[in-house]
Amino acid sequence: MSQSDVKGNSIIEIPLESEHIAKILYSALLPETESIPSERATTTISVKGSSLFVEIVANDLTAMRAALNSYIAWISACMKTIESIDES
Amino acid sequence: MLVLICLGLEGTAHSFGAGIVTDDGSVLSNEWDMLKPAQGGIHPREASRHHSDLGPSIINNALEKAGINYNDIDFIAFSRGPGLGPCLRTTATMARTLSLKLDVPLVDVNHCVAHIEIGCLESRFKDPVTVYVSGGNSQVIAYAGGRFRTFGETLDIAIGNMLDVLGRELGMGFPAGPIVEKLAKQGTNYHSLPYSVKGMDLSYSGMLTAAKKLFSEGIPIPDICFSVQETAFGMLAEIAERAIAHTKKQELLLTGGVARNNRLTEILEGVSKRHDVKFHRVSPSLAGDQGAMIAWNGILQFNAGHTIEISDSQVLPKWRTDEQDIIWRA
Repeated sequence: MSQSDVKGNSIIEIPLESEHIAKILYSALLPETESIPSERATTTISVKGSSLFVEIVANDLTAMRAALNSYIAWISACMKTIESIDES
Repeated sequence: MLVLICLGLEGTAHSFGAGIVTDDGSVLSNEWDMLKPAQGGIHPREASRHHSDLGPSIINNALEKAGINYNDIDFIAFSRGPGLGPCLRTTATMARTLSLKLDVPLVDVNHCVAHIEIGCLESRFKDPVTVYVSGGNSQVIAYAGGRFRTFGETLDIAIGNMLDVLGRELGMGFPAGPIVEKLAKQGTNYHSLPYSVKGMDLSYSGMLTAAKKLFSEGIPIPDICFSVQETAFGMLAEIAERAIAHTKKQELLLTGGVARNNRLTEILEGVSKRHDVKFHRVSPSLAGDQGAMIAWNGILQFNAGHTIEISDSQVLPKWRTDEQDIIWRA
């Protein structure tokens, strides 16, 4: 099976507390979508209402998994950071 | 009098740190955690996960220790480079989030420059020749013409990396540097190793290969550690000595994680005495990678009028020490 056979497209929708929080995450992540370490995966992000959308297009499943893991880890860290501020 | 408070985030490699520093140079807190892999070296992905998992709680601990609230922070500084891409990106993302949520400015910091400036803060040195030694860097640096110029540096692996990889071969845990130092004291026989000084630069990969060969030949580990330390540190001392002789600067600063090594300190103290210059070794809590140095460098830049827009804050994994204009010293 060639790599092109497993080319994929994933969209993650993350419902958030408010549009304001969604926009913070969008702005924090946007520079990462512009500095691509490899051409195997491309990510675009957007905000609709209070949801953040992360769309990843990858040439192979390994690149897809790596990009998904990165964005999920970053979003998780950012959300924990925001929660810490809100709780303080 | 109102003071400015900066939260600095460090996350270029295996450590994540959060430090809180005021513009009068007081370190209010400096919390960090270092990834210690069970085996092998540092995997960039594992290190970045360490930062994203533990980062928020380390930041909370730093605030708690400093006795301040998030709303007391005037701006955020972060390590923009050089370093491991995944680690830098994780740290930058958290820094941007803090900046946006708290609605405070963001300042980008060169990790290597931060190591120099935290040493200057502690020592009150104005214009030193700096020996910066760590797991990722080995440089002899001095300020000239608006930048920190690299007078000499490793051509291949950093000294800390050499010690860690050697330690792994010899069955030591990570980080191996302190164990090598301890065992070196028991060494009695010096074995010749490649002394690779090329102009003002140096090379440690040949020494690593030769030291591994000594081990395979059955040379006792303390003798290997002793021989490696004396050769590796002697090379650094030679370059530092030439930098002092050339620049005529009156201060010698030792900074970075390997600054914790007492034998290296002793050798560089000897250099400073021979040239009649002041010497300072950065204290252990400020020697390794930590957030206080990022926060302090953030303050220097902020006071000089520099901040960065979120949209321009992409990380710079290969950002060299001598690629940043040092506007606060101009």
